[in-house]
Amino acid sequence: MPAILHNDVLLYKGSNLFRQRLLLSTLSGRAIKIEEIRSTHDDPGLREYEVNLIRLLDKITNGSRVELSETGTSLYFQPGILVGGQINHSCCTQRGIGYYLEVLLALGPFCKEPLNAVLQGVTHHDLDVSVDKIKSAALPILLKFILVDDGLELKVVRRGAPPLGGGEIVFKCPVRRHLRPLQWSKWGLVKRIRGVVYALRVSPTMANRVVETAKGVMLNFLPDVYINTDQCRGPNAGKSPAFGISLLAETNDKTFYCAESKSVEAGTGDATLPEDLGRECALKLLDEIHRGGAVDSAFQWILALWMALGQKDVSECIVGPLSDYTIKFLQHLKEFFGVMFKLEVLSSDDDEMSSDDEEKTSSAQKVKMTCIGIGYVNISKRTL
Amino acid sequence: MAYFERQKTSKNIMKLVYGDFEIGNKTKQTKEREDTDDSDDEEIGGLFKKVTSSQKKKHMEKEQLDHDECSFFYSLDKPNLRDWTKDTYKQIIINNFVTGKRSA
Repeated sequence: MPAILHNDVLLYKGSNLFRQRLLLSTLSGRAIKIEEIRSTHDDPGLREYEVNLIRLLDKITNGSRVELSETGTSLYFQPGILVGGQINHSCCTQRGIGYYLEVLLALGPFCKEPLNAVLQGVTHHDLDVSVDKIKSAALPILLKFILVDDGLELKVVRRGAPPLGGGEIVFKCPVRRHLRPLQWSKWGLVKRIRGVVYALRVSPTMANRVVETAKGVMLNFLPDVYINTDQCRGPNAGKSPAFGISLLAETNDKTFYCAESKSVEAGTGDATLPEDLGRECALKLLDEIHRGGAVDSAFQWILALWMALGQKDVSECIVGPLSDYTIKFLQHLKEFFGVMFKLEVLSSDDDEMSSDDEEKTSSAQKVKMTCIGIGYVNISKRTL
Repeated sequence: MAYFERQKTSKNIMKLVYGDFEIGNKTKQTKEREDTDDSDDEEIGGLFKKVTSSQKKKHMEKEQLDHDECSFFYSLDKPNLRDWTKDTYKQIIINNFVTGKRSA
């Protein structure tokens, strides 16, 4: 839903896309006001995890102003200056660390001091990308924009599953004065499959059973499949029992697709069979490969962000079908920065693959995103 | 999967994404006016009201207002995955792998 502009304050309604709005507000320096946050719900106002996100933003900025109404259903946010540096944050266990880490990842290059963040909480969550996925699929995207890797690092110290969490990660991100424009229209062919299966406070055989089926499916397509098991013990296994898998497909043009699955939360009554889990994850990965594009579908939005904030030059990238989240993000980008992407649906591939008509119709659509960067400059970073 | 269908049918993806913005404020006002017009003459038997498309849209927006935020492709609904190991589907994606067949 488009925002209403009032006295240079962007006015939104509802709690949906809360994170996007705060993130873009922080980057653009524009104040936002969000109203009617779950105002008709039994449990009105901001949730704990959203307040937790505001706290995190407060930690990495200087001079942010937040005004919450008494009921918590309306919020005024005036962003400060991005500082970054050393931070320690314990994330709310209602959402995964990924929820917070994605924000840090997007803001990281524009901080004053290189970001060195220690986050505690749930490392694997159903609603959020896991830390493994960010590590394997999102960091390579940032590398494309900053080119030189001087200290981009994500370390999973401990894993932790919902509901209690107990995981910990360390994230380091270098700062840049500006991002490079990016041309990325080839993603090549999948050449290897890697994966990690973790077993937290459950029998180690669970992990092996997951590996077996996942590998079984993937071997239909490629011989180069290697899936690791991560048997966590003691405090490294977090506070709740769970097991899960994340699979990574690497192409010969350094594109990474990642899919993941995890067992249902303990105590909900349902049980997950390790065999089903492995198969489900493998099929998810194949689905992701089918969608294709230069980046994983969960990180289209972050790609769009960095393209839009690049130097005043043309960036071009081909991705798979846009996710709903990305569409919303593109709309927000237009509102906060006035950047409009040129989006083209590429007509059915002329590649060798679409030789007969049936295949043509079933191959996933690709979208070519083109934009001119707004020349966003990190004012805190001096040129040498 | 509904999403794929929608994208397939809509030729202009720009409009899909930026639709509300390109039109600007002008049309929004006229739409509102339509709203008020409709409410008078769309009554059936003086008791029921027909749901107009703009009302439907408003309802949709309202429903979306407080969704949980999730950056996945299948954000909140469970995906109905195809069984890619079946031969017919396998043919579609086999060429995305280095081991796939080449025409050359």
